[in-house]
Amino acid sequence: MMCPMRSRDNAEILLDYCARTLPAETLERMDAHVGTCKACQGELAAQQQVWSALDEFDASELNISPDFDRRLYARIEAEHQDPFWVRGWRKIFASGQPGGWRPAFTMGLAAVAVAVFLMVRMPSEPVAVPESTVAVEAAPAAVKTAAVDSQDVERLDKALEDIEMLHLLGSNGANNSNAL
Amino acid sequence: MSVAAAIEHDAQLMLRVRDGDTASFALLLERHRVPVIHFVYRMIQNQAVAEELAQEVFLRVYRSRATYEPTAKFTTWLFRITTHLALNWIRDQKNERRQQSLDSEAPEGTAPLQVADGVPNVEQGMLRSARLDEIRRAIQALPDKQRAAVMMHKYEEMDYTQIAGALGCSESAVKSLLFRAYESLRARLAHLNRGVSE
Ligand SMILES: [Zn+2]
Repeated sequence: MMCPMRSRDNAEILLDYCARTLPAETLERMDAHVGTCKACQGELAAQQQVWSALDEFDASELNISPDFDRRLYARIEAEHQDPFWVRGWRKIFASGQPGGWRPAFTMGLAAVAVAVFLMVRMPSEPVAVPESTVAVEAAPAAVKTAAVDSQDVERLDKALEDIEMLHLLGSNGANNSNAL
Repeated sequence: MSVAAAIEHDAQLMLRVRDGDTASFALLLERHRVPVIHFVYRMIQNQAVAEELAQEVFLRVYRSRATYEPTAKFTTWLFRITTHLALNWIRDQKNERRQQSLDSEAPEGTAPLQVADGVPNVEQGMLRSARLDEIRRAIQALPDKQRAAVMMHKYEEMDYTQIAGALGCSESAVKSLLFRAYESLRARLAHLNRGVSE
């Protein structure tokens, strides 16, 4: 067989050889070749050293929190309690499947949704508050409104982040040059 | 169970989740919880964050149930979500650190490890820990996409097609990422092996 060290196209054979993922027939031919080729022997030894060093980074020593599932199900349950528009939004756009029309359509609708959200949330006219009643009574309501607003913003932010990811899922390797 | 059967099994489970069977989601979680957490942990080397991001991964899998179609291998799809979240987290951390380093003049990087003389067992333990630390740092020093490719290739035993699907790039791009990553690791870890053979 042609020495993998002499051809960039074949170079992955050495990686696969080291990972023992070559098909049986190629593996046999490689065994025979490596036995006589100094270049491959050197390359293989170096790769095997890296391979066994990586084996030492053993994540199985990690103790995963026993309440991992409970926390996840609690979050799923919490999402069921989200307002209808957030759930509806997710239902329409939560697709992990690569698709041609969906990403562009999604991004367009996202822009429209942000615009609508801002229009709804921003009062068109300032609310007139009589100066005499500003003091104690107004404070809790203001705090409550601020909290609700920040929750809504957070939800919108989350939904937009989902869309960004789904857009990426939909692009299915379009930008290969960006991968490196 | 053969690899093909396992792939088929995952897709079947996900289709059942789509039809409202939550027990199938529990089975998917059971099958993939550990690989996802381990992958993220190796990527970012922080357990608490790894678990947090893994939660987000499964949450997104659950959210996508209604529209799931088994057009790609389930694990490829799962690791595409996982990689995306991990890389995003790394990017955000970098931005944050950049911002912090603008605010303070503290030097970056870790101090070299000191290995003291001592009782053989203690010394062995320290050497092992220093060695592991070197390996972790070498992995951490890889560019993010190279690191993700190596983690999927080495630890998840994913093939080039699957890694390409997860990273959203071509197979030849994956091979190139892997070559460069392993080359860097060889250079960074060569002295460890010299130490052993001496
Ligand atoms: Zn050769």
